[in-house]
Amino acid sequence: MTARTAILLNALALYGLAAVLLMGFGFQVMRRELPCPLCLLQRVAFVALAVGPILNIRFGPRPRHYAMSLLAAVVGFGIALRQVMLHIMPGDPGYGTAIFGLHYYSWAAIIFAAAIALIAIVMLFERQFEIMIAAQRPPAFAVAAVWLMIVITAANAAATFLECGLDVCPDNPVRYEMLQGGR
Amino acid sequence: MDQAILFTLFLAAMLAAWLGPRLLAATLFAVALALTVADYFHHATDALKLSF
Repeated sequence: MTARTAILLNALALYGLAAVLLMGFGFQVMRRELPCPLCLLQRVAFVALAVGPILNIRFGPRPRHYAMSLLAAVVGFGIALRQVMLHIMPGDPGYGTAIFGLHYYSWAAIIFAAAIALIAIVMLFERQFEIMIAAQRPPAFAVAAVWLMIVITAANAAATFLECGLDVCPDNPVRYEMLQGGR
Repeated sequence: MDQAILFTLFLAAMLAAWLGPRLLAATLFAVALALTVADYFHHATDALKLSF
């Protein structure tokens, strides 16, 4: 795998993360399902997962960048697993709407576990680390992925501030604290 | 509020990764990830009714 191929894969990963975050946003806006603190923390971990690929796209693939993503994926997996355990008992309705039979946190656990495996697989291909291509301009496809993630992260920060206001987010949020009249 | 701060810190890490020095991006990332773990422990207080 060349560095250029690795950069394209990193850009694809950013598009995948953007899709996961947009799906959460879609449920929040269209179905009026406000994310709980653990749900928000999983979104934070998805955002954290994106920093490594952005560094790879700008500076070229390096093991340290992948290690950052691995750490973020491990943290995200731990948070998602905690929420799965909270709702694992028979008869528990879970939190929020199920997507293809699984709740967002269950999908999050699967995606974080898959991310750990995929990053490890990509790191097996050492040719990507041999030639530094930081001086080259990244392709437009990758640049667009980076800016998409930056915009989605800013939108999540704003939406979370509207939801929680200046206090700690409640365990079962029912309204946007910063919007008068709720929701 | 706590998660909004975390999103903002990671946003800053992303902007540093894309526009600024690599060391600043890595530092912001490390601080934000440590705070994420701390915030997780702050919220993960319910007892799990499970036995392993």
